[in-house]
Amino acid sequence: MQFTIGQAEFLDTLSAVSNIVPTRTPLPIIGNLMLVADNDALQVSATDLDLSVTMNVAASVDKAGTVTLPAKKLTDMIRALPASPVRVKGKNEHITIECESSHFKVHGLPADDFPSFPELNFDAGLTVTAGTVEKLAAHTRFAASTEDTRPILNGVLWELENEKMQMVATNGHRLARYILPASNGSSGTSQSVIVAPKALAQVGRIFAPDDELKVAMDERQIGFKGDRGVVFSRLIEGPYPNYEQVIPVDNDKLARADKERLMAALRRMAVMASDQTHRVRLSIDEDTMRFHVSTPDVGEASDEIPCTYEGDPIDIGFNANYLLEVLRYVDTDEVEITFKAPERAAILRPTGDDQDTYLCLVMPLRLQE
Amino acid sequence: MPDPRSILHVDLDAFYVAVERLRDPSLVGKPVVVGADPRGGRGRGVVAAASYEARAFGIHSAMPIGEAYRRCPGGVYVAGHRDLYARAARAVRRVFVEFTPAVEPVSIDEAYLDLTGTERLHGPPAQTAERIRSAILEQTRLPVSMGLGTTKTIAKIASDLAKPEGLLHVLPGREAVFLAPLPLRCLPGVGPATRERLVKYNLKTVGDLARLDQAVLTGALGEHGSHFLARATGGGGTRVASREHPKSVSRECTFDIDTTDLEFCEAMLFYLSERVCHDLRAQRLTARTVTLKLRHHDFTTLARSITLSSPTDSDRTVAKAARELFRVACGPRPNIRLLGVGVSNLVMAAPQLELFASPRARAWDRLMDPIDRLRKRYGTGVVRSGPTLTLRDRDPAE
Repeated sequence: MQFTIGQAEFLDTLSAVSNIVPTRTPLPIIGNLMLVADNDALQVSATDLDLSVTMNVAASVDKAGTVTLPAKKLTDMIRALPASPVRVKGKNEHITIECESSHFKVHGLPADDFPSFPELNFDAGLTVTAGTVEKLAAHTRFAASTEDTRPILNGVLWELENEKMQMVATNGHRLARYILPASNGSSGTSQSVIVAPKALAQVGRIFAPDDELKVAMDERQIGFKGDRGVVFSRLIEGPYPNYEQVIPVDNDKLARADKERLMAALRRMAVMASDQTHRVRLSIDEDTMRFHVSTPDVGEASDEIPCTYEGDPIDIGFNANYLLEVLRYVDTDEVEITFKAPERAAILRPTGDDQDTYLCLVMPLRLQE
Repeated sequence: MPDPRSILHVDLDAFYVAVERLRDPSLVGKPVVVGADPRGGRGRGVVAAASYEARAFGIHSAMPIGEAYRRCPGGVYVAGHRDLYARAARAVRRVFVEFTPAVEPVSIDEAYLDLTGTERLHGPPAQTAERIRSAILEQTRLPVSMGLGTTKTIAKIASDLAKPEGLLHVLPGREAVFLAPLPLRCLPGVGPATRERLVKYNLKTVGDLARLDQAVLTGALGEHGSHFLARATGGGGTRVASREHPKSVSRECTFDIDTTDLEFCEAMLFYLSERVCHDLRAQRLTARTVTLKLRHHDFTTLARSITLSSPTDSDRTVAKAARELFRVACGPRPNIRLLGVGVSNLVMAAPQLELFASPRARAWDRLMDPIDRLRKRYGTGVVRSGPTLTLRDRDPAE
């Protein structure tokens, strides 16, 4: 095969794809990228067996062909080259790469050994923009669990209904849900799947926000296909916990505060909070939100910000980091927090028109005397 | 030089015996042995405590109960009431903390108190010591011996010499003079083996030791030599750690008879988990790692651990983890001698509440606080959970 491509385009493509390549793998071929040159286009593919990605990029192809090359070596090599056309040529596993005066010879592995990608029927899939997927995912995937103990919570629940679609993620201590009206062409039946956060991140990495995507799925796989490429991911199996049941409906205490001031105060408290629990105490009454941290052997801190508040005064403990993470994704200047009791979930939402799109739950930390 | 410290060592005299005598005043003046049932000299256990009268027969703690019986068949042998001892010890500790926040319990009947800096509040330390004694006597009717000195070692040696019911105050600067004539065995850490080695060098008193060159002592005792020298010259630790942070909490039980009864084993695991979690909650801790210890009849011992997704202080969560570990670890035909449950990876309890906790788990959570308080006041047996009911006939010994 033989093709020529600009160094910058080549590097962008390699970087976007190669980040899913595992650093250590028992299967050497998994450490490689597959390059397919044909019809004035180059396809670069990578897989970690759960997640597979192909990205298309324009190239001047003189001779069609397929090869696999070590992902890290190839990416490092192209990154080190000057911003000039890069010529790749060779036969079977012996590849030469040239750019200006630089000359490399690399050894690949047989392309036949590269794992095949799933087959999904994209014609039957629904249509959605990459920006919609990214918006849903960005507001929720941070809340997913990173522990191995409950694999189901490592995923993001994506629910597709006639009029709306929503994503939900939780680690059992906090939960984020984002709802958007469904774009045109939704498939008509309601479906729900549990997607790995890294698959959603990869969609955001490969596609531009305006790209139209076809989304197809079966029991085990989900695929996102657009002009720039395709992302396949194995779905996480199993029933997702009944999250609707834990969203409080009777939170009768309501506080509104400036988001930036709240975050700044929490960041200050977090410095003195325990490394293990990150516990901060919030005491809210009439028009003040007070913060207090007391950590044995470390010290104490307190602060306060103004707020509006309706309801009986409350004293409640939280993991400061959970609150900070949630607040980062609240898009309005003001945030609304509702409470019921010190051992019940608090709800955080944006204020204004977007109120119903985004909802976060944070379970408190028990306060001890 | 900073001002010398005032460290008080308080030792409850023949503690278990003293408590038994409060329970049953007829025991006063008799040789009393607390421990296992001697069964006419054929018992399996050991002596937990002996009264001064019994000690006159050469009986001491940790001696096999059969041996004690042979030495003093006429003694009064009492089974022991752990709950009573624990309650008495707590009452004593409550007195301590009225006088100083720096209390380091060494065991159930011994503690170091740092009285440094309490002079303006309570007066001279020796006087404070006497007030502590009267307060303990008044509130628990238990006798204590006390030693007051500038280091923990001095205080400990002094209280040993003050037994029974005395107070020995070693004045600052007089440590070396105080120690010099004492026999080597008075120095904590000098056991029979060390003593034997030192006697070869013709060393008999602490003063002999103090006069030695460090190099000679290191030659005789190895690297511990300098440690002993420091103590012999009146040095040693002064830090009274009011509360050591534990790294783990565990309970284990050796069975009277090896068992093949898996149902019994699982009930025992539940019981041990309850005890461990009770201790955790009392110290406001939670644990992430649960360890099962299992010893087979042939003494092969294994430990298996599992780390939970979030820290817990729940009996049921720890018991479930222990049971799962046990089912995997016990093997096809177990014949078990000992079971233990431990927790580690401890973090301060500010338990993160669970979003998806079942109503049942929440109900249990709410129940634990009153149960803990009942057990603290009336002993573990006052409330029994279902899984441990089968243990009733085979009351677990710890």
